[in-house]
Amino acid sequence: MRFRDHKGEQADRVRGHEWSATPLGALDRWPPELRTLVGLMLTANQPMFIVWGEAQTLLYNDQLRPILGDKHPGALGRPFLDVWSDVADDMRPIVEAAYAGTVTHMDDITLFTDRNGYDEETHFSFSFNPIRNDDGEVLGFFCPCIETTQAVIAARTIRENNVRNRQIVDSATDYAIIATDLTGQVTTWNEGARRILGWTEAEMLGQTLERLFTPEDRELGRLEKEMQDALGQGRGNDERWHVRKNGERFWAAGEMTPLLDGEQTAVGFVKVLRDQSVQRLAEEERDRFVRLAENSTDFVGMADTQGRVFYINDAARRLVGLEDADITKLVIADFFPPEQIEIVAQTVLPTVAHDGHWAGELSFRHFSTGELIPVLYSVFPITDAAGALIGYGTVTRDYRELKRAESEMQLLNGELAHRLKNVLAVVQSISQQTLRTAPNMASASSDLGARLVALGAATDVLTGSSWRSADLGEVAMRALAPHGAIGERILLDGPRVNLKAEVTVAFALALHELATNAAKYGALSNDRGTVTFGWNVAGGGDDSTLSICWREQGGPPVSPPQRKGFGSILIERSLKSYFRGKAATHYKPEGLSFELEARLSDAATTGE
Amino acid sequence: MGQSKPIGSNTVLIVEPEALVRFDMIAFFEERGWRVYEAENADQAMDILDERNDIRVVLIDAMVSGRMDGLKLAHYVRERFPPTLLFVVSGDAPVPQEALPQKATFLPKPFDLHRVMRQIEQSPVTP
Repeated sequence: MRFRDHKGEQADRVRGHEWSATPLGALDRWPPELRTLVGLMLTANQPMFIVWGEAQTLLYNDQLRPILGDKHPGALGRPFLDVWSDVADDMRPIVEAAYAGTVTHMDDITLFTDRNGYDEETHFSFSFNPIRNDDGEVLGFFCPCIETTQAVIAARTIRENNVRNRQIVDSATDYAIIATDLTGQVTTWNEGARRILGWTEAEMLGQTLERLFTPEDRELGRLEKEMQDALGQGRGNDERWHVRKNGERFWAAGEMTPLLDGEQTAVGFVKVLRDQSVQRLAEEERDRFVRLAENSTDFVGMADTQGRVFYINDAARRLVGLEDADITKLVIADFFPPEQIEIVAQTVLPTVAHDGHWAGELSFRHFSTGELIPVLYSVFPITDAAGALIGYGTVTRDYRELKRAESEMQLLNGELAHRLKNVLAVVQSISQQTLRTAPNMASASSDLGARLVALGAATDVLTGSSWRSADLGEVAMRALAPHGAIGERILLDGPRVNLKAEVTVAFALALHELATNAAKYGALSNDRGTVTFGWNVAGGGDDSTLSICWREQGGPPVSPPQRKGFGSILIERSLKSYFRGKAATHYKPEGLSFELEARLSDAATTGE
Repeated sequence: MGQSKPIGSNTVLIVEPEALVRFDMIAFFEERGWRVYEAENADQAMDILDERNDIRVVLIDAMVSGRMDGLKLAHYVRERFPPTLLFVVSGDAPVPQEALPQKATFLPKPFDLHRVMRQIEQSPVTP
């Protein structure tokens, strides 16, 4: 009995088949090649079949049954191409090639089987190996089959995963997802990268990421830094200006991470970034408004609708002494002295709610010193984008300077009124004395007019120095100019001396009287006489003296007057009184002279 | 205190720092036959008051300098020489009546000497 020791259904069937009715003839008469092959086939645990003889008779083992499906069991002993009549046209050339002595491999044949009770996709590789006898004649062929289902499906899964992953990567069109090797050369460039950066994947593959960076950042080695950070810290920050293909800059936000293989070894980088230009510009704009408030020298603050303060700027903190304080516990009322809190609550905030604005003078209270700080308080509502009230804002101006200036102004006004009244009193007394001593109205009128002019000139000089002092030379020049050409008929000579305001008017009047007398009787009464008016400072410190000398030359011969007029009296008496000094008039025949000597400190201001 | 007897005498003390103004006042009173004493500060005025006991009228500019200002000098005069006719003159804001000594008259500068004289003539000469 042939194949006696072989187990399995197909062994039984081979043994039981009525082979004598087939072209192969009875088992016992099979050639040794066939018997050896069938024995091998029946013991193999992989699918195998044999096609033998001119009739191309098919023999197969148990493992091939799932591949045959419902062709089993009738297929045993039948012609191969009859069994596979459905694919006979495809098979015939290969079968013929095998009978012609050519080996044919088929790497991946897809078959659907129900070997496990359900339809299943399976893959096999076949190899048709011709079998020759000793004479080299092809007797048939032997075909071992290798199932490749797992490998094929695994390969397909990887392929499909790759496609799917790429689709996922490409679907993130708002994100540029870029993979590079360790040198920074691009290996993957997704659709988002194309949209954001402009280059296509084809343009970028193999290129370095350098071209995404601004020249400044390239100079600074930013790309290298990013890659180092990615390797060293697991991520490299990517927030900076980047450059598109068209040269335009945009603000990118993202990061670079290392790309790891199965062994956690870095094999490249993944750079993910978004175009944040719009957000960046909005941030910058917002930031500018913040800077506006922060840098303002006015008090800028905001409170919510409950009056709770949530922002004040640095100027505000300085103004009220809250430099490093926590302001979140404060309410609007805390900034005001008790007596003004009610005004704010009863008038200011209701007016803001009703009219949209309130401005007026109030006082803040300094948080540490309690000092009242006059301010121009201006309040307005703050609304959200939809127009709903979310709080109150204020831009408040420090009014201390203005208030100081105002009170200084009041002081000045008072001072001015005082001086005006004093000048009026002087004018009154000059007028009275002029009228009292004048021989007639015409002379009184002209004397008074000239004296008032001299008085006016003196006040002009005083006004120029805010009534503090007057330059002696200038007072002299102004008082004397109406009486003769300065530098020709009237010679002035002396150092700079700042006369006290109190003595200036009397000094100018005295010079006026001297010049008037000179014009009537003395050196200025003809056309060649001269007056030399000189002054000098002698000594030092508190003992300095001021000497003043009026000397007439070239006038008619002088004799002492019969009676001193008001002018002469004015000169000596008033100068003695104002300067607390010695004054004397000498009526020498060659010309009148007048001398005054006083302590400098009584006549002049020191300094300047 | 009892030494003052300015009764009936036509004597005036003018305390005025501004000489130009003082001269006019002196001339005004002298023209009318008055004896005039002048001082340009409080110290001079006090010296004169210490020496003289016949001064009937005192005219003081509130702005005088010295050991006291014009207003203090006015109070000093009122206390030491109660019957004296007192005039306080100022170019500044008016001195409130309550700050003035009893029966003193405030005159804002510039003032009219003729009116002062009328007031002096109408004042009773009290013992």
